[in-house]
Amino acid sequence: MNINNYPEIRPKSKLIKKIYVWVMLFVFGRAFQAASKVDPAAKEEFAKMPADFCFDMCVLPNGPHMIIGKDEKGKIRYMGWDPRGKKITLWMKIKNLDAAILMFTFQESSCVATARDRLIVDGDIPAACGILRLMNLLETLLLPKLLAKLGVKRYPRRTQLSPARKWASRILTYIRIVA
Amino acid sequence: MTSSDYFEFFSQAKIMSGNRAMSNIPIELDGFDARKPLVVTSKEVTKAGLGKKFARALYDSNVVIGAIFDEVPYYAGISQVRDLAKLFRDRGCDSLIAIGGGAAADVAKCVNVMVSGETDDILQFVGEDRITRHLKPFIYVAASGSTGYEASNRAMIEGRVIRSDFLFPDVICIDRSMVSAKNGGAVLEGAMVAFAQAVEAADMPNNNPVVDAYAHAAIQFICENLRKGIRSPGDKNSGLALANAAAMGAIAFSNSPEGTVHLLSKSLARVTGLSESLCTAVLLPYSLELKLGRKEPFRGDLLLVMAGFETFASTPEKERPRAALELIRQLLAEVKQYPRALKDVKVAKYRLDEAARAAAEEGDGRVDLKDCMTILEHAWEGTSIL
Repeated sequence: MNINNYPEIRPKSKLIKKIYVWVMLFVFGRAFQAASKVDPAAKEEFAKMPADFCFDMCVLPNGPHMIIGKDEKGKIRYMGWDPRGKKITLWMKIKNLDAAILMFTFQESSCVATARDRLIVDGDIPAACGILRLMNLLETLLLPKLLAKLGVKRYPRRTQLSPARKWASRILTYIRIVA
Repeated sequence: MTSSDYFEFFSQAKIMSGNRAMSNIPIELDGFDARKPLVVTSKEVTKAGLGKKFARALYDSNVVIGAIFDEVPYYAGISQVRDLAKLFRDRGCDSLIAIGGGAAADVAKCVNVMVSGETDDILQFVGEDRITRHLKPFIYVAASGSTGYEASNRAMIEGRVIRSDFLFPDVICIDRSMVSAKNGGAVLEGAMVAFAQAVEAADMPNNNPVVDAYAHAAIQFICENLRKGIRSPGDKNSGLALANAAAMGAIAFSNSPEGTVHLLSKSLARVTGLSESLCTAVLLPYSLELKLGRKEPFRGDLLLVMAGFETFASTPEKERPRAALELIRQLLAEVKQYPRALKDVKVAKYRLDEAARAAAEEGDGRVDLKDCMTILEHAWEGTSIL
């Protein structure tokens, strides 16, 4: 057998998918920070998090990352995409880039992705559940209803999220993301 | 359901099934501290583009594929296993992945035995429980076409069987994009063997609830998806269900003694050159008829699994085994590819005796020669035992 007929195969990169996920994580990171200031439900959820809360959502094995956490004043900050030198208290690791694409193209909601074992949670489970609730809220605020319905477990009814609050939070969140 | 005072069940395989299941292979390999697998497959798999699909699933990971060897023929041969063991060592591989059914999985298992045991004599492991140490990580990726034994604890090499619990794959990966067969025959091969494995495993006198769970799930999947799988072979949902059934049937089979149909169809296939799945499809109803006729009927649970709760509840308890047998006959009658009797495929009658003797010998007292002959003679004629 000539072993040269069977060469070693090094993994290539899925660059476009990686860039898409990076952009989505960047937008979500900024949105977490914005929503923590403008939406009462998000404020309440973040208030329950511990003072040293630092959360890293990443795609295995080589990123991208999204890091958010509380600063010294207890405010939620988007802390960029480099986990080095940060004391992470909660990791949510998406097992691979394809799983991240399923999540961030809303083919699978974050709850379904969790149920299908596409995420590894390392840290406080109640905090991780809070993050999933916040992600659902952000998808409701940031996306049109048709798209958001695919991404969330249950789209909130009018009695749960009034149109006035939804639009106010949506506009303010978008302004804060861009600004 | 029978309950026993004591039972054992073993399956080390983690099953990953569904959409993009292959993309999880890097993280699974990482869990075994492995980075460089040797991939073993056949030309059919690479021609169907499944090799490329597999390689693409590992993009953006830290896994380097040591080599993709795609020249496994229809049987596992010793010289090829030796060559692959050398390739494995030369390339510094640390794990094995088999894509697709049959010989590819057998070759990968045998290579694993050789490289983990640091030996070149694979035949010293032929038999039961001759392997005494953990092997390198082994992942089986289901692809269209299967013999139904890939997920089991056995490997065939040149007609000889190596059976050990260390041979179970560590991970069974059933990806939706890999399991749609081009033709109905490929779907049928694995499904038929898995069906017989599951029916026999569920009906063993000393079976246990965990074997039941696997076997019943396999039977249910096959009953619900076989027709669709044969009618439209490209259908990914039925392909996925049948690949799952094959994996579950093989695990149930690995935890049960070999049944009459398995032993008979194996020996008959060897003697006549027919495929094992064809022999299984012909012999299974006759084996069940023999049990029914002897007033030691198989369990009525089979009807519950095959027909659902309504039919099960409305059928009197004593009639349930017969009703289940009827359903099996109906299912097999719809499979047009297979004959109803062995004489239809030109099996010489004098060869039945040889097959029956081989099965009885291999059964080691569990299978009666007279029973084997009764089943084979009726299967040859196509006449009912009852």
